[in-house]
Amino acid sequence: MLIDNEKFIALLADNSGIEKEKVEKYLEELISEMKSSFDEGEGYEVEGFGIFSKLGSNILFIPSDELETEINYKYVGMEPIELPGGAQQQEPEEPEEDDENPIQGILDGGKTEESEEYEDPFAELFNEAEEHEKAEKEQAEKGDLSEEEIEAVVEEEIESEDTEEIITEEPEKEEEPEEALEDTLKDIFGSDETEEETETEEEEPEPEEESAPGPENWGIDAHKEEEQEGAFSGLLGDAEEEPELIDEDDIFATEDEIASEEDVSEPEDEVSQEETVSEEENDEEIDFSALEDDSSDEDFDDPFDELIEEEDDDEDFVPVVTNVSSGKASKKEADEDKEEDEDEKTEKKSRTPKSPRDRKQSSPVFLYMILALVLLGGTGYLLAYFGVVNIEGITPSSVSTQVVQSNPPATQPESTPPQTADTEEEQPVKEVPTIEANNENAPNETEESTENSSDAESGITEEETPQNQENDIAPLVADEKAPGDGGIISPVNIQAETEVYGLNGTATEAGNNGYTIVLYTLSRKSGADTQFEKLSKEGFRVIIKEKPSQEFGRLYRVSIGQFESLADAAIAAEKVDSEILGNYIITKI
Amino acid sequence: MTNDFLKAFGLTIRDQIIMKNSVEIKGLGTFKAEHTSQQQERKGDGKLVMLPPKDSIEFKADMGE
Repeated sequence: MLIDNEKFIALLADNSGIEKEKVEKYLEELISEMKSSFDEGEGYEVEGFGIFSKLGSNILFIPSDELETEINYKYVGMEPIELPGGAQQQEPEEPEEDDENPIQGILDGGKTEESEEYEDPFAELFNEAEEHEKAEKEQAEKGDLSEEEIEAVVEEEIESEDTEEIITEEPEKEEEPEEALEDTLKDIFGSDETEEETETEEEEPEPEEESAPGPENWGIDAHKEEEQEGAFSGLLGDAEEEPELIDEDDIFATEDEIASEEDVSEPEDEVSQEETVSEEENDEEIDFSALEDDSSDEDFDDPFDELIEEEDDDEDFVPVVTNVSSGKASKKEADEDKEEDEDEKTEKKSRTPKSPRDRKQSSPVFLYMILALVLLGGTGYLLAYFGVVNIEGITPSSVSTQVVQSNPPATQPESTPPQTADTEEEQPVKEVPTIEANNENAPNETEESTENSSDAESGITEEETPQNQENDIAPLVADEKAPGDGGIISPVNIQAETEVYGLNGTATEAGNNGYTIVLYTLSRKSGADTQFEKLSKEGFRVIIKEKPSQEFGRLYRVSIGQFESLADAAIAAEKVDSEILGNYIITKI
Repeated sequence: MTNDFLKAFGLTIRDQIIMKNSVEIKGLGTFKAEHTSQQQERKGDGKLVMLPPKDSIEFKADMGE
């Protein structure tokens, strides 16, 4: 409610007990006082009320605290409440690192926060908790590490530095390897001694390894370490000790683990290589070959490795022996030939019971394969949908192809000569009942019911569907739902001269496989008949189709024209007087 | 112009605003009641805060004449 000046003065007079005239006078005084103080560049304060001040051409009113409180009396004392969950979002997220996998970025999309580990797009799909539990279990059962295991760890540390540029992880990972690297490099390169000697030397870094931040502190890395160790132990002959664990690993291995084992895989190569080397006393060359191995292995990858591995699970130390020869052979030619590496790799596959590297490397290839399949499927579907390829169930029966052709002679529908209206007028009444029985497809009906605002029938219930609004879209939707040709009621006038399709004239039976422009869907037969007569007189080809509807009982759909294609119908509809057309949809007859 | 008048002036406007009425004063402007419903706000430090609803007075100047 607005209190205007007059009312305000009356109220003011009441409240203050001052006469109205005086109030008016005071008010004017007040305003002029304000103006003069504004002119002087000052504000004007009404005590207990607030301050008026001029800012540019505008006047600001700053209510006094008193006033503000009194106006806000309902909510006085309410303080802002800190909501839970607000602070969490502030937590810094671990920066995601780019991986060599080019798809990665795409697949990761917006899920970055959720995937703790760096590269796995499917991490969320698997239960990470389960994984952690498993890792802990392994850790617990594997109290002491065998020499081989320690070696594996050491090597792994070295390797991890190499791969850091590509796969960066938590910072701890970066720091540790450097120390370890020095030691182990010394061990590997600095000594030409026998196997025993190298072994003993390599044990030295062990304490350092152990003293490095324990698994508990490492967070995610901890699990990784454990898994890696497990994997190595299997490789190096300790498989008997915990074959079950490893199997479990294989079965439940998540993409995460597979990814995390990327580091492991490379060290493994070196380790096995190293053994062979020490046997042959040929250290340097072996190391080179190992490096070569790494790079090539990254490139070649067999998605079926896992299967092979599982079959070979029983093998223990044997594979290492075979590797010796292969390593030797490859050493000589490794520098130039990638194929060699491939061979070597395949040998390794057969010899290594469960090379974690193979497992992890299968993931990118699977990704590629899945992507390719999806793309193929998508293009196939699109081709079919747009009618390039005809696949039943996908290709929209006649729509797509005909729409593509489009541009049918626009004049065609119109050019058909108007048929004799007399015969038509009586047709629908007779024909309607015969068709009722066929049409049981109730759910479809409401979709097609339409309303015409110009409809004069008072007692007719009408419904309007959203389809009516979009002429381009509606027909497509309606078309999919058209339940075949059942239940068509149309005044069929078989005349040889009548064109099969057209807007005007008399409906033909042959034309019933086409499209029509639906103007009304009416609940009363009489209303439909009225419309039929009216439209027939206008020269249109009128079709009344009876539609059972669960909600509204029986509905009578009044439409005009028979068109071969959707496009024809749309073109014809554009030329029809909009008063007649109203809200229409185009649908299959 | 007396203090009584000024006092009554403030009180009258206040009462009308509390009753959600707008008050138009010729030559000065219009006072209007304004309600702000409760809303969430994220503070600079990342905390999510629910602000209480609030009634306030708004003034639109009309110094035309």
